[in-house]
Amino acid sequence: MNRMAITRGLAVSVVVLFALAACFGQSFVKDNYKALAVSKSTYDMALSAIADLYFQGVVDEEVKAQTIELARIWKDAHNDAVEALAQYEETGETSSQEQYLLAFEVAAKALDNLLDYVNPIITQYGMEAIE
Amino acid sequence: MTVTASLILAIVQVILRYGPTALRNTIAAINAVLQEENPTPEQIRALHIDKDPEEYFME
Repeated sequence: MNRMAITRGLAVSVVVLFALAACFGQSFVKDNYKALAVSKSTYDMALSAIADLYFQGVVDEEVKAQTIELARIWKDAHNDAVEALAQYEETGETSSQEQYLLAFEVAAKALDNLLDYVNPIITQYGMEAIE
Repeated sequence: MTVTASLILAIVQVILRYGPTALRNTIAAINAVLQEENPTPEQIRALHIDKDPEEYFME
């Protein structure tokens, strides 16, 4: 496993641990709100980086299509998590909290998959890896 | 050294070095962070991602 993969793995683990730790604290909503804000920002960074390379003509349609496919999985899971967290804040129901945790887990895996795909490409062209 | 003694020493050092106003500002900032309220459902829903990935590749 190379250093970038280890760093990315650690970053994803930190995000997941952050969410899990929040489950046991009193600031579940606040902490997970911050985690989702980071997730949204990372989505934008990853897609902007690949789009830049696409417009420069250095990546092809296949890379574009694969990036879009992986990003859609992440976007859907992220949006499910956002809605579940908002509902939990409104109702305080345990089912919403459980729904949030499931969606967040899917989003974290999707993030892992997308960064696994995107980082080797963007670092090849001198950009910083997204963590 | 106990935690309380360390805290008192740190406070004295801050007052000596930066003055009582800096200490008051620091405590106010810490309080603001600790008392930060939960985001509202509307603020949470603002984190919804509306932009489809394909839109990033449109000129």
